[in-house]
Amino acid sequence: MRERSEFELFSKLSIGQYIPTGSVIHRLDPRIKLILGILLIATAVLAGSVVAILILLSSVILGLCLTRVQLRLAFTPLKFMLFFLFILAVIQVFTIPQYRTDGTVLLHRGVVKVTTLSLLSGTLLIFRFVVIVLGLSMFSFSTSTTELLHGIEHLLRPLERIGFPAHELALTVHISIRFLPILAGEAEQLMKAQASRGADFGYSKWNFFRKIRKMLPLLLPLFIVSLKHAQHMARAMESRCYTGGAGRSHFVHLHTGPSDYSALLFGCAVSASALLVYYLAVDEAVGRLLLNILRM
Amino acid sequence: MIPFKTPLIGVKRLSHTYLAGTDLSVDSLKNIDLEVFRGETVGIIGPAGSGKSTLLQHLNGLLRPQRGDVWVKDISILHSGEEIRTVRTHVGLLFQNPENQLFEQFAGDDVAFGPRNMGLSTEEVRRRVKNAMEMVGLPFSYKDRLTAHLSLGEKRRLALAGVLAMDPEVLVLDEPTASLDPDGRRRLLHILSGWKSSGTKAMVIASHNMDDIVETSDRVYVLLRGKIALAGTTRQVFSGVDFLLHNDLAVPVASELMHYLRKRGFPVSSEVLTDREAAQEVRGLYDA
Amino acid sequence: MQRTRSEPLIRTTGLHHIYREGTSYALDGIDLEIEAGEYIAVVGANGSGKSTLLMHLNALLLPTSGDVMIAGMNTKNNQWLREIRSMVGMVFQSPDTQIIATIVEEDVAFGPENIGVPEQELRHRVVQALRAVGLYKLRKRPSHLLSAGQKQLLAIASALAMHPRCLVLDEATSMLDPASRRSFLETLAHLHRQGMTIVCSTHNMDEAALAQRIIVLSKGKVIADGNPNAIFSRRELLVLANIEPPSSLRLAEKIGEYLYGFYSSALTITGLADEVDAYLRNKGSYDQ
Repeated sequence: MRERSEFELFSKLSIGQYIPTGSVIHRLDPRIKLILGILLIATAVLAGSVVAILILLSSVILGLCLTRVQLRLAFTPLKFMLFFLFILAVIQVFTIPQYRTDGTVLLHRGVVKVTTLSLLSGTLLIFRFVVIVLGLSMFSFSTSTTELLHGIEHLLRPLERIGFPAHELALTVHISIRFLPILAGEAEQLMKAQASRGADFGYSKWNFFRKIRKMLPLLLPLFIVSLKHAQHMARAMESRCYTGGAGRSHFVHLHTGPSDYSALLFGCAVSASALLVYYLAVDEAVGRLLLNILRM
Repeated sequence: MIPFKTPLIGVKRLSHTYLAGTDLSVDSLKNIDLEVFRGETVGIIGPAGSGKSTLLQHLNGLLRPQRGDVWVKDISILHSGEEIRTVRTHVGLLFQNPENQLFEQFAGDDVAFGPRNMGLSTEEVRRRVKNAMEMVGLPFSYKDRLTAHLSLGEKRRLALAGVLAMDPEVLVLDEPTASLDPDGRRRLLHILSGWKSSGTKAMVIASHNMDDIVETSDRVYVLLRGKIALAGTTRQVFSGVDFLLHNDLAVPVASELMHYLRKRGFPVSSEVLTDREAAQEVRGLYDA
Repeated sequence: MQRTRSEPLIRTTGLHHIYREGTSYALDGIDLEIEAGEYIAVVGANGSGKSTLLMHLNALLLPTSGDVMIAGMNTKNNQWLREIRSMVGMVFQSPDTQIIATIVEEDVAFGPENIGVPEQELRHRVVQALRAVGLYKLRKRPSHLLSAGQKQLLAIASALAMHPRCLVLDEATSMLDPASRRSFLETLAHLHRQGMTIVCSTHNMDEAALAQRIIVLSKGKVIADGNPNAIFSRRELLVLANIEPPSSLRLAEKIGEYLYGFYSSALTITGLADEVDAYLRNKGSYDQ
């Protein structure tokens, strides 16, 4: 019954999935969250050990709980991805290149060969993906786009001394984001105006290409109106004496406090232990233990 | 015996929640009942955020009823699938500042967009474009002009032509005279009354401009915070000046003057709408 | 007004402007003087040059020939650009596209940030400006969630943060509903009372009637310049410039048709009610 009209492009909706709950994670300095995010991804990629990934996973889930955002919101996107992931993982398990012939063979029927190693890499693939998606969700739930931009700009600011245009870059991204609700609104108006004159936008649910073709008459007017808006915005910026990044003062200041330092320390500790687990080949030990248990 | 008239458009218990199910949900319409009969012009007034645009967009099926229903000539919008496009040939909707939605390079092509979408033959399309352009006072030769080179007034009329070319039975207009100078406004209202004069058409106008409402509408609905707060003939509705002013709505200046005079103790009629009626009323006071 | 020897805040001499070679003059020889503290409305039909003139006042446009001096500084001189733009703040018509930042208070800070205002002063200016327009409570809100009226007030705040001596507003109310327009104009009146020079262009004559001085443009030239009563009493002028008198004068004239001898120059409906009241109470003995 609650059918959503084909036109609600949510020009009033916030961008991304920022869900303000005022939790401790929300109040962290965005720079810290950016650093932790990068650290998480790097560690997940480097630490090729299931146990390591499990360590990362538990800390991400802990983080998610701390954001006080409903967990199911984080897991819902995973539901869709997990299916394809599983297929991918299975393919990897069965077709892993045979250069790695060590690892105990568990199954060997003709071309199909399953070794402990291939099983491992399949599992790893799924878990890595889950960790990264959940981690990114945690950060996007707890950080507004504006905060994120300020974080990026502040991180890049030291580079201004060597001539890197951190401010201009940040402003460009900022304005692009500022334009999103404006353009969404314009697109919505255009679609509605055209639909009112008989254009068909919504009914062939499976006909993807037809839908794209129907969107084409929108592109040109949308482009033209964007140019007009851009001109207006430039005019407004000029009126307020914008002349680039040089000599600007700053209204927004990011402050790091004890919770930021503890979060950073915690993140480093988790990352270090994950890498340690990988280098100490803990997986092999655990794997052998499991096999012994199974054989008993 | 008075024949039972079926309205061209019927709205029953229509409700709409914007962004339902999210944190930002807003009840934009609550239990709206509304009718539009052949031959009449219905005005819809209400402060910003009262739900006017949302309501208008239900009248041609751009928005589906979430609760309640909207009927256009016996077609239920709630239950229509592909037929919704037929509804849009019966009800033509002109948005606010429609010149922003012109998208064809050549003026004539933009007017032809609607008829072409209806699958009409080339000759029929051409005939309709010509008729529509003439109705809005644009020479047919303008069809080869670049849309971008038209003036604001011309663009507005071109956009109207684009809707009229679909030959709708009901014309729904959102702030039709916004941003127009006095000449442009007069011309547009003249075109609209010309279109409607055949007697079989109907018109719905949502506007902040009370002079427009007074000049065009037979009946008025007052929308406040998503509900119909008041409905009646134009005269009836504007007689409640206190109520309207209190709710941040404008009233025709004639009514406003009467309101202030009444406050100062003069026994003036509360059903004054036009300048002339106000003048007559003042004269009446003087003669008394 | 006593003409002192000091330089007026704004002075244009022989101002001409052509947008593109081969097209006609958008501004065809404008000579104007605007003193500090004035409240001026610039009116005229679409295409008469209103926007063009206004954009010269903060050097967004430069003269094709002639000069524009702001507090003695010539707009053509690049070294004064920052000073001029800090002195003359501009508010445009479209609410959305003059807001740069995604958070309200950050948008207000944008201007002073650009001229390197030190941080403590910067914070102070932001708070001051937001309070002046009544938006302080909404300072942390995402700017795209504001209503159109609030966005226009934000635009004023963002201009105020530059500590201008003059506010130039180009049809800033034309996209607003009556209620928002009222509060916007009240804010302007308040700022004017505190000494701000206001130059605004408008289509709405009821709004223009609020100014102390009206400049009428037609085809790029100033065809009239005086106080509202002086301007609106000249019928041929209004026709020539394609503008209508404010509604109170229109109504007063109609009353005069029915009540011979009645005359009112009131620029508001309440004012008109006062004069009708007085006329009726002094039946026959109407002194002018």
